[in-house]
Amino acid sequence: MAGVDESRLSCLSRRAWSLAAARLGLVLLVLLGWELGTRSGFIDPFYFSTPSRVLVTVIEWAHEGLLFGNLAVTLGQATTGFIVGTLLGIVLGFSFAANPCIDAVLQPFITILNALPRIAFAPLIILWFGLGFLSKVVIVVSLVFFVVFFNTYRGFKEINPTIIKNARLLGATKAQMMLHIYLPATLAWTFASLRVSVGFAIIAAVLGEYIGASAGIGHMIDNAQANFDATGVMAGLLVLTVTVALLDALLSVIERRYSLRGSR
Amino acid sequence: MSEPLVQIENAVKRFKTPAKGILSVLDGLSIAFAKGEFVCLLGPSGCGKSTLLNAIAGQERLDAGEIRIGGTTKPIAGESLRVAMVWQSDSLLPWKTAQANVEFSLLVSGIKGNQRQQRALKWLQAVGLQGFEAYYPAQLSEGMRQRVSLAAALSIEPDLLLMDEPFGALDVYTKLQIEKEVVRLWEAMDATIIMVTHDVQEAVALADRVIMLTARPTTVAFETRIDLPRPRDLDRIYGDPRFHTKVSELWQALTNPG
Ligand SMILES: Nc1ncnc2c1ncn2[C@@H]1O[C@H](COP(=O)(O)OP(=O)(O)OP(=O)(O)O)[C@@H](O)[C@H]1O
Ligand SMILES: [Mg+2]
Repeated sequence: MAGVDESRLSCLSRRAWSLAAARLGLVLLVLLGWELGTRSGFIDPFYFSTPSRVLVTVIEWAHEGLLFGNLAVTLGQATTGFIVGTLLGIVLGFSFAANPCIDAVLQPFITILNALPRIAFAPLIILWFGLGFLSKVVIVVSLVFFVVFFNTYRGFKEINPTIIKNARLLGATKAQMMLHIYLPATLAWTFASLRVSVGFAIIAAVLGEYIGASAGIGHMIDNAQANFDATGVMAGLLVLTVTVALLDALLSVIERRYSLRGSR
Repeated sequence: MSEPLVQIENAVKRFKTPAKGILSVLDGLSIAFAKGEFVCLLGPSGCGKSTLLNAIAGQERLDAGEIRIGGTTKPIAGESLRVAMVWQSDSLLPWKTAQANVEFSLLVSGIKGNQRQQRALKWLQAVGLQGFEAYYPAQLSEGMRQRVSLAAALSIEPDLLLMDEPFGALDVYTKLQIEKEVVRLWEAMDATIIMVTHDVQEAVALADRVIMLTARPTTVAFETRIDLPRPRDLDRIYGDPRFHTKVSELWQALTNPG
């Protein structure tokens, strides 16, 4: 059996390598076209910059000590908001699903709050909570919370009713039901939502910085834009893209580790 | 015959239909099951067999009538009288391994910690799943999952065992092996078993009594005692002429109702 698995795996990884090579090739091709296009005058570098200048700018930022300091600010806000939003989402999602009373009274308000375009509230949030750390965290929480809340809620409601009937028949106590059924069933769904919310958390933090802040990648992009510096904007975007991609890859590894048990 | 262990009296159960009508599933059904009896229920699909078993298990409320188990209508709380059920649909916890699933049944039934692992291993072996203890349900076939459920139900050594088509997903050979095991264990432990099946031969081979139900609203169409001697040897019983007489008698009743 192990032999079969290994040969399949090696075949899969060979395919994965050629896939990765093809993707990398495509990216290089686009970058090359972009670079040559600006050099030959087809593309105006004032508006679109060039890949080499963007890369140089990122390296300069790193040298001047701008890059990691600002990235740390953005990530700090995103992480704090992510943790707070996730915990709030789990606790409230669970409580709502487990208490039909709370659910019946408050559910419409949650739905309305979720339907509000919360991005449009970002300027107000900055007005209320200031230009610093706190306002960004609040914006991040306002996005992450709902994703986690609805997934946790759904996870609870989607538990196979036969499992519950069987446990009740055998005489399971409330605590046993919580520990062995409700929590694990719900957390599998919560976990699935985390990957989506990580992206949201970073977008939300950057957005907050963009509107009003004195540090962070969003602030750098805003500055560059104010100076009509397309290269600076692109450099900021590049840093964000790479960061989100790395985080996403990390989470997908964790997810793959644990998905086998949850999947059915 | 002693006082019945399970007594169903004038059970009535109706469901709302999607078109706002009423679907009458049970309408005054009465059946009694003696202590230590092995009864098979046969009946057309959708007639209310699962509904009936669910009601006996206390997981479906009747609209009228009552079900007394051990002389009481109160929900049975585990200790005095253990009830276990093998459900028609999956009842395993997807986030627990086969062994952990059986141990979970033992845990919630109040079995002491040091016995749980040993019992779980013993019963998984009894249903032919040694070597698969660490598999998650998603990694098992449907028939294997049914066998885990069966092991979980048997492991608590119930006084009353309800089984809803427990062998539906098994091949003929595996089915025979598991049936043999169930019959052997049941003959040793004196439980009452109520089992739903669609297989007439299986019903005759296993049961003391076969009850055939009509379509909705379901009533007892026909019932017959299977007086084949015990202990039964399932390897031989299929060659016994008395077995075939019973099977054809039941087929007769099936094909010429009324
Ligand atoms: N929760 C429910 N709501 C509405 N109708 C239901 C519900 N559960 C069962 N029914 C109806 O009750 C009838 C009996 O269902 P039941 O599951 O007991 O049938 P069954 O005899 O077990 O059939 P099968 O042999 O196919 O398993 C069916 O017509 C079904 O549509
Ligand atoms: Mg059924």
